[in-house]
Amino acid sequence: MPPIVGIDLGTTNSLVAYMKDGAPVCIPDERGRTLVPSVISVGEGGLELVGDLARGRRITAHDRTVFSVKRFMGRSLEDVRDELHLLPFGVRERGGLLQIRLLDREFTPQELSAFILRELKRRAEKHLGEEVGPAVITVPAYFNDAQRQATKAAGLIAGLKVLRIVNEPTAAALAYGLSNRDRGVVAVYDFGGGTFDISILRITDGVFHVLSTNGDTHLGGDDIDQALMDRLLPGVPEALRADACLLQALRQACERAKCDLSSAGEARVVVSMPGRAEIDLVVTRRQLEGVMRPVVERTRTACLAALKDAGLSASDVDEVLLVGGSTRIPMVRSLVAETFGCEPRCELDPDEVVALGAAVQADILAGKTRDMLLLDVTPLSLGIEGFGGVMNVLVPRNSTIPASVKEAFTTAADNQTAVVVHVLQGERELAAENRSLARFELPVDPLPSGLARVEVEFLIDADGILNVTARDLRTGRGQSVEVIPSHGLTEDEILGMVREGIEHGREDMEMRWLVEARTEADIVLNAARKAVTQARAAGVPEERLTRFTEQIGELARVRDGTDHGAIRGALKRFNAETEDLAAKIMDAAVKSALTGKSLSEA
Amino acid sequence: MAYSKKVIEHYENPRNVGSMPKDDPAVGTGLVGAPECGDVMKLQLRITEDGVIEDAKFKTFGCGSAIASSSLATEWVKGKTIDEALAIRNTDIVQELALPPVKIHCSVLAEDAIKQAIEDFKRKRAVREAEPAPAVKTGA
Amino acid sequence: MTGADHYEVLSLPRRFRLEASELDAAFLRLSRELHPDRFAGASEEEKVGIQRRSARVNDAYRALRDPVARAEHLLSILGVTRGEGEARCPPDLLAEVFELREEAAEGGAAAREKARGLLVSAESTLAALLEAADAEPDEGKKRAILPRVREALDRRKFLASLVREVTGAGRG
Repeated sequence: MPPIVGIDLGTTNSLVAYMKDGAPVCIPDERGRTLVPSVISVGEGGLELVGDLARGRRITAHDRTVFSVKRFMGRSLEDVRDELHLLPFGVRERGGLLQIRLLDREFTPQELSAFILRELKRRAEKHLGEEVGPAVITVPAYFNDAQRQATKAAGLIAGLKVLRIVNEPTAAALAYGLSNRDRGVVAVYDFGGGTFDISILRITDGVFHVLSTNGDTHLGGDDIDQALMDRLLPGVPEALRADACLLQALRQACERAKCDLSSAGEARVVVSMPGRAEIDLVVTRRQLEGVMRPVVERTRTACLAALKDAGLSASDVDEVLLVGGSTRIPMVRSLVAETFGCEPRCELDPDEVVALGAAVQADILAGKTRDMLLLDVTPLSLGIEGFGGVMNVLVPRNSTIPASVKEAFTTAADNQTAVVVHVLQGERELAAENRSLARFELPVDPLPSGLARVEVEFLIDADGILNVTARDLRTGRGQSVEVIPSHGLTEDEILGMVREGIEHGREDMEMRWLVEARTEADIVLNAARKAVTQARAAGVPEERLTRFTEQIGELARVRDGTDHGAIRGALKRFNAETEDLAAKIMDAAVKSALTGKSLSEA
Repeated sequence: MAYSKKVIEHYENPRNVGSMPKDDPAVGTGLVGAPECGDVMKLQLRITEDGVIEDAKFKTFGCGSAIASSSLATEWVKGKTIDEALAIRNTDIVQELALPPVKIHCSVLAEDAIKQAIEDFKRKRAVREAEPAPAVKTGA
Repeated sequence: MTGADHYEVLSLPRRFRLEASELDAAFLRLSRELHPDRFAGASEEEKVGIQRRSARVNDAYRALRDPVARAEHLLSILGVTRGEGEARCPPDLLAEVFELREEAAEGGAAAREKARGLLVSAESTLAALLEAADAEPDEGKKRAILPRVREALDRRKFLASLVREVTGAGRG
């Protein structure tokens, strides 16, 4: 039997893991990298590139490269309007569904996420040497019904059988608890690229019982990059501020600087686009902390709310686990320590821990891990619209799932033939301020008012997804209810995309390999051409430089051919033959860094 | 959910809000409440010697449905005889206001309030006419 | 009430007062047995029933965890109702609540403080009655306590929503 894989479908990076001899491991690529950047780019011949290859095109092909797709899952245009101006790709809504434009094609966020999932599936299949189908996919705990459904649909489109949608912080707790703890109260602080979650769990003899969860599905490292960028923009010549390509490069430079500032007190934000722009700014950790404080403070508010809902105070928490790349930031760590009054634990790689936990959950579902069980909750209250446009709560937030409630409906007018039910999710008092999940009509027999009685069961399943069934209480007959999601794909649309996906899978693999090899060659060629100047500055003899230029020319020639095997071979050769130069350039870079001079100044 | 214009009217501009002297022999007072939602409703009727309701006032602390239900009830009973008023059923209110199922108890409150107010009036009249007081149920 | 009540679902004794530890223990024991994760290999048709069965356990846990909802549930199992059609609550209670509401509507910190104080005392009265009802071994005498439990519970509910309103907190 093929193993069930665990997938962390992240805003910035995605990973796939499985249980190997009783321990979860992330599956690496040939180079040993476990992270797949959650970036999709339309390459030559209209083929989609995913991961590192696509990431390299964020600047060179910014109009056909999409990132942070997760922010769009299960969302309406209204929900994301505020951040559209930050994105280099076009987004519009059609029939309640977001469409993201890449070159001349439009994709739903579900389809784009499916590209990432397909890539992970391929990677797992290559590694395991067998076909992979069943999977557990993680989502932020604070994802609503529409966002969960969108994730499940993405899995289906990618050809996966989604056995369970698991919340990221609870998955992390599983990975951690596997080796560490069998009782106590644990808080999981999960601050990733685009989302923030806090979950409070009580662990009792292998049962991981979530007491409460809180968070923000639009709060993450991206917001810190943005805050830093907003701070630096005034230092950029005005004429350049509207240049989408430059802004992309600046965003990446800000992200890098943010990461550097986790260990250094100072970092440089450098954007070098020959002939167009040269930006070179210095940022201190203190400056970064100043701009990110409001972002980080929002996570504290959520932590306190989660504690309150769990009926606990900070001192009841035995341990805090850190998850997500943004928890590498010292200021975030000190905020967590201050909020919970204890030093957070971070011995597991914050980037991998969620995928590892998903693999553990997959193993539980496979019936292999039997001494562990996860009891999760629904993050948001479920209700229906009532009189005066208010929301009447049926299932309160933080109810353990599966959860159900039955509600009887009747007619208000004689001979009324249908009752309309509007299902909502959220914590606001007014219906209009909550997320509209669905509207549906219950057909009833024409009778005097109040006589018809239809019982509706709202069931939130173990994936946190709503299921609605209805029964006519007079006749005892079951009734079918077609729940039309307010922002999501219908079953037919998903099936259509699954079919397309299958056809997509049969596409010319030769072509895909060629495009991938060429793209990789382009990245290497680009870097190599820049390296000529650097090598000269590093004191490499002229004759070696001449040979280097010839080597570059040779690689470029092979790259233009159509034999992907030859390109791969040429790349390998090129890398081996130029290792000496790379080492020299690196040495020079280190030396100049030590003397406070940069390469370009040298 | 769509609501009739009438509902929104009653909800936003409730009719006949106010109080009448409780001890006035021509006034019957009904006081009801629903602990589930914390609503309390006071409905008062001024009734003539011939048993015609000439005025009605209410004061309700509670949700929009409770306010609309009591407002509608006071509109309906004005000019009606005691017997006609007693014939008003909560389902009539539900139908008129298109109340959703979770708010049906609000209409029940309004019906109860009318009944209690009329009983209160009858009790006062009985005492006044020095007749033996009829057995009146006053609670659960 | 259709099917088993919440106490039956969790195999717990029908008491107003349940220790958090006994409730949690029953909940975890049943979850280990019935959670859908234990039946991941089931067919699609079976899965609906599995989700539902697990939901019943979770719904029972949710209802019994809250002392007020639990008391309400037990009263309904024991058939203690308020009586339909007529005044649904004792007139004295309604008169008191109405008066408090009017006072509160005029505002003022004094009205807020008074409402809070009344809620605290209503809660301790209720707690004492619940304890007395649980402790009463004689079925007949216990029955006699229940209407007082009913009234104390209603009074507490009225006061709680009053306090919620005057302190401006969101709805329950």
